[in-house]
This record gives sequence, C-alpha cells and structure tokens, in this order.
Amino acid sequence: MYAVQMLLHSAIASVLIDCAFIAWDLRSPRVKQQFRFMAIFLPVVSFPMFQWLFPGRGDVYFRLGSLLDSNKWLFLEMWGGVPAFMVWLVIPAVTSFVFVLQELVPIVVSQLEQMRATGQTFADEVDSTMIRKVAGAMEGLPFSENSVEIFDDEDLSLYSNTGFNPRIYVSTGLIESFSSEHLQAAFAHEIGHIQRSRKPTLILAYIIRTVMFYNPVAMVEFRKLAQEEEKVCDDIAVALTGNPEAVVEALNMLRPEPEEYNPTSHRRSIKEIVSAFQQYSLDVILKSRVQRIGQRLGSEPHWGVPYFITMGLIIGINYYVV
Amino acid sequence: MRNLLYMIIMAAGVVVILAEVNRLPSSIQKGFARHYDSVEEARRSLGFDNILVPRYFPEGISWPPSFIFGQKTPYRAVVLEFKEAKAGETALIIIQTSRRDSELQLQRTRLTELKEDTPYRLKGRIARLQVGTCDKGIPCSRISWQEGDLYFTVLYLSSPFELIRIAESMIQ
Repeated sequence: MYAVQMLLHSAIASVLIDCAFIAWDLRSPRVKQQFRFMAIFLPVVSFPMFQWLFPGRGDVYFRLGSLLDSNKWLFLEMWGGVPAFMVWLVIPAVTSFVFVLQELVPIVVSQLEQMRATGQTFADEVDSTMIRKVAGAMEGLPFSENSVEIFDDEDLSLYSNTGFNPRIYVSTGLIESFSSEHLQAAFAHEIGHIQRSRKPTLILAYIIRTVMFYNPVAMVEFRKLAQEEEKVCDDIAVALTGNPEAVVEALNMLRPEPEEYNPTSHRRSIKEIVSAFQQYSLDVILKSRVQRIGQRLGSEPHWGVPYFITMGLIIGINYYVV
Repeated sequence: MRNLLYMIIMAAGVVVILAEVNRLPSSIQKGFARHYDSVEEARRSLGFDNILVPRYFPEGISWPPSFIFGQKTPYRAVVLEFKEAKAGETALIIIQTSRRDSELQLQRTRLTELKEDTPYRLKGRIARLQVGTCDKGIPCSRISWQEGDLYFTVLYLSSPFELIRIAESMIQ
C-alpha cells in the first residue's frame, strides 16, 4: 500500500509542480529544482505521516469518501478474473529495468572509465602548450590547476570527480578543439558541479530516487532535476567567467553533428538507432541550455509563497488519495 | 493574486480528473466498497446469500441498521451499524468478512483498552470474547468467531451479557 500511494502521490505532486511553474511563470533552474525536489521527497514521507497523524485514514470508510481509491483500480477484474494489479506490476517492473540499464550500469561503467582515465593520465608527457592552455583557462577560477588531470583521448570529453579530493578530467581532444575562453567556460561549469555536489539536498534527492527505483515518476522528476542542475552550473559558469558568449559557444561545440542523429541516414543495427536517439536527445538538451543562457533572467523571482502554496495543495490533495 | 487564481483553477482541474478516475472502475464493475440503503440491496448487489442478522436487540437498539457497508473486492465484507435511540451514537457493529484480521479496517469504533480476553463457547462454536473500553472510555465488549470461510465480529458498547445474546440470536 505504501508503494502504491507513494507512486500516486508523486504523480500528483509532479503535475501540481508543473502547474505551479505555469501559474507563477517560474523559470529559474534553482527554483525549479526546489520544487521538483518536493515530488521526490514528499511522497516518501506523506504515507507514514498521514497514517501516524490520522490512523483512521487506513480504514475502508475513509476510502469511501476519498478522492481516489487505488484499490478500485488494483482489484478491477480483467480477463478471466485476473486482478488489474497484475498488469499494473508491469510499470514498476519496466521502471526498475530502465533504472538498472540506464542509470546503474552507466554509473558503474563511468566509474570504471574514470578509474581507467585516471590511470591513463600522463601530465608529464603532455605537450607543454596544452598545460599552459589549461593553466591560462584556470586563471581567475576558484580551483587549483593542479587538480586538473589531462588524459589522452581525441573525443571532446570533460567530467569532474566530486569526492573529498575533487578533480577535473579533460581530454587532449577537448583542449585542442577549444579556445582558452571556451576551455575556461567548460572548467567553470565543472567547478559549479564540484561546488554544488556538497549540497545535502542533491545528495538526499539522489538517495531517495535510488530507494524509489521502481517509481517512474521519481525517475522522470530526478532526470528533470539533473537537467536543471546542468542549467544551474551553466549560470555558475557565466558568473565565474563573466562571459556568457563563451559558455554558449562551448555548449554549441559539444552539440552532435546533425548526421549523427538524422533519421534519414541509413542505419543498420539497433545500436546505431539507439545511439542516434541518444545524440538527438543530447542535442535537444544542449540547444535548450544555449537558448536559456541567451534569455537569462536578471534575478531569481520570489518563490517562497508559491512554494508553500504548492506544497499545501500537494499535501491536501494527496491526503485524499489512498 | 492572479497567479494564485491560475494555480487554484489548475489544482481544481486535477481534483476533478482524480474524482472521475475514481468513478470509472465502479461504472465498469460492481462489488467495490460502497454504502447500501438496505441489507436486501447489499445481499442482491453483492451476491451474498447468507448475511447473518440478529433476531434479538437490546433496549434502545432496533432494526434497520443505521449504516450498511459492503464490498466484494478486494475481499468480501458486510458491516451493519446500529445506533442507540437516545444517544444517537453507533452502539452495535456487526462485521462479516472473508479476510481474517480485517476487522480493524472495517470497525469504526475501536476497543482501545482490553481488560479481559477469553475463549467462549457460542452455540457449539469456539468464539473469542473481549471486554474493555472503547473510544472516550465507554465500556464495550466484542465477540468474534469463524463460520465456514467467513469471520464474524460483533461489537457492542455495553457489558458482554447483552452482546452474547445478540451473537447467539444470529446463529440458528
């Protein structure tokens, strides 16, 4: 029952949060993150909290007057008297599968790649012009250039390690392709990730999302939260460099070439089709980030009142969803 | 204020959609939890042949029940509630269910403090008799037994003597 209500409550919270974005015209990624966090966090605590405060909520009479009684949909008899929950089970099963395939496996693979990349680092053998270029790009940024590791790779690759000893890993391909300004913008973005990784809210969101691995709404909300995180780091990059054009240009350089995802291109295998779809998704995300930086708002709107009104509506409506 | 109004309108839309989604299964299939106007209607609608009703009622309590609840899914259950004439409060609850330990979900008045819990022989059946106090400290007693695949519970807001007479009058 907890799992069912958690799923329903997160779906309702997600819809109401999107309504709040429309109603108050909320666009700031930081603010949107705060709201989206509600869709991940509130459903986890709402069921035990409601039951603790109002034990009568668990009885059948409360269900009679409820807004939505999940039992009706779970025990609806289908073909040959099979209860509908057997069909509904497909949703968490598919979500769990996607979680493992798209989130758990890539994290493990990424960790292995990072370990391999760390092993491949050969700063001593790197061209001194590259080291100077990195040092120049790091100038004025709140991060030690000694914590930047260069690895040998032709691809445009850049990521950060956000542990106790944070490091930025950059490929030789990216250093060669990017100008000093673009490189600085890219480093500033990664510094944003390192600074933000110490925020307990994001860590908590990730833990809760992992616990709710079967919940498709939590999965979607967490992905939206991660996309907002990229936008927040773009804003940090703009603030640190004072050069929004460089951030925009750097993002544009990371966008895949149209032929990499063009549907008219001849594709043979499923792997190629999946890759094309991923490249297309990446392009859409990067394009929206570029456009947003172009229309950046001066200051963040007041969001306290809308936040608490939305939270109140989520709690109030979800109380009657059992 | 205009933003707030937009938000309230959209939230009201969500509520309407949820209410419609809630109504849909009942229009497709019968047997979900609902209130009935009479025992006969519940019997007919749910297809229950043997809803046991008492023949004896203590003073102040009379037929018909003030509230009748029934459901076929997720498990079979019928609840009859009777009000005490003077106080106008529910004083007698009769529960018939196919699921063991479901009385707590079906019983609006709870036995909050248990003073005595003893086996009792009810017309040849082994029953469990409990005596204690219910909500607001009112003395109450409860008897429960099994008959075939159904579990019966009778709760009465008074001493066990009248409760046993009510329960015995339900068994032929």
